[in-house]
Amino acid sequence: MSDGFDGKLRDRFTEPPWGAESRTDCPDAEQIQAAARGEASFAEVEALLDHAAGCAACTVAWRFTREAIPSARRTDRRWLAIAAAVVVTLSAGVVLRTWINPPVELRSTARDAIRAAIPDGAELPRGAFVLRWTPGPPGTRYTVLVTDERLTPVARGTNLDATELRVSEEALAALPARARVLWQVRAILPDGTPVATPTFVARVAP
Amino acid sequence: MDDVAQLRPGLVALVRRVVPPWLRDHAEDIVHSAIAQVIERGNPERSPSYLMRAAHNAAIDEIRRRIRRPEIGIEHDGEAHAVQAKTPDPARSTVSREIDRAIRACLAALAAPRRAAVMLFLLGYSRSEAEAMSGWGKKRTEHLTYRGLADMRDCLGAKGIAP
Repeated sequence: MSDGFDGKLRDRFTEPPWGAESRTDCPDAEQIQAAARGEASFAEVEALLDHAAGCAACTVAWRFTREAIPSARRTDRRWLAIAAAVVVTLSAGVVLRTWINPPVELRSTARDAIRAAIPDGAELPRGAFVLRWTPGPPGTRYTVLVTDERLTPVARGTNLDATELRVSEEALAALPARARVLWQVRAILPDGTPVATPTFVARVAP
Repeated sequence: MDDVAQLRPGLVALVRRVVPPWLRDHAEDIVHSAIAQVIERGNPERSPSYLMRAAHNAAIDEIRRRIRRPEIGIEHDGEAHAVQAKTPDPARSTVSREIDRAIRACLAALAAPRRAAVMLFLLGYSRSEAEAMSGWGKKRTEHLTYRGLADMRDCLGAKGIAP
């Protein structure tokens, strides 16, 4: 917490409480990033700031962008070169598979959410590593992404109508015993509503 | 895929740093969802800068989604739980929301340039950064920020609110 009115005001504003009011007509994240990078006119920046002034969700989005781009200044874009150089040194090995899926606002409501049908953290044998979830309404299609702890994909099932995904032994071969496996289900309900679950955890049995 | 995975530790730390306390325990989950979205979109452009930007965009969207609908946490017992474990108590939570509402109402009441100056201040931009972004010049930037904060103090005081 900061001392003084200005600091307290800043703390309060940038850490909105649970249930704080947000708007639904929010700008794209890309617009906020562009503004923070100095790639937008100040008129555009002002419009985005005006929106964030009345929107708790976008206040935190700005804070994220501000922290992510600490030198988000139009006068100093050295961070671009530095960030690129740092990331370029990282492994560039595996190619992203093309799976065109337009970004959508995912829903996950108490009424219609999908949830895990196996206990969280359950140890599953390599020969029967089956992830199961509760069904949505008839006609729901599911997509499941399974990753290791580093979020490197292990398996993926797309456009499934079954409510389970069997992960092959080959896919698990690189994982040690008791390795944590993260999985998430995304579903399209029959009315076209997209739903996303939280991330679930399973373990590879020894 | 490794490129995306490499972003995870930094992204988790960043999310944990910027989200409100009541959402902090969900940082891992937020990042997993964000990176899953980047993988799903499968854009053929895979430069590191693209991936970083895409991951940041997805994280921003995921954070905003959870702040807009904080009541939607679903736990493994099949029941819906509000993700407000860090909220101390309902009364305090209500007071915090009232303060937040008052702050935003007072911001809305500011004259446009003062509002922008105060917003930049509240979001952590230094005077020189605000000056560079706005093109106002040093004195005008300082004046707008100073006067804007004074207006905020008066406005909140009139509402009986202390941040």
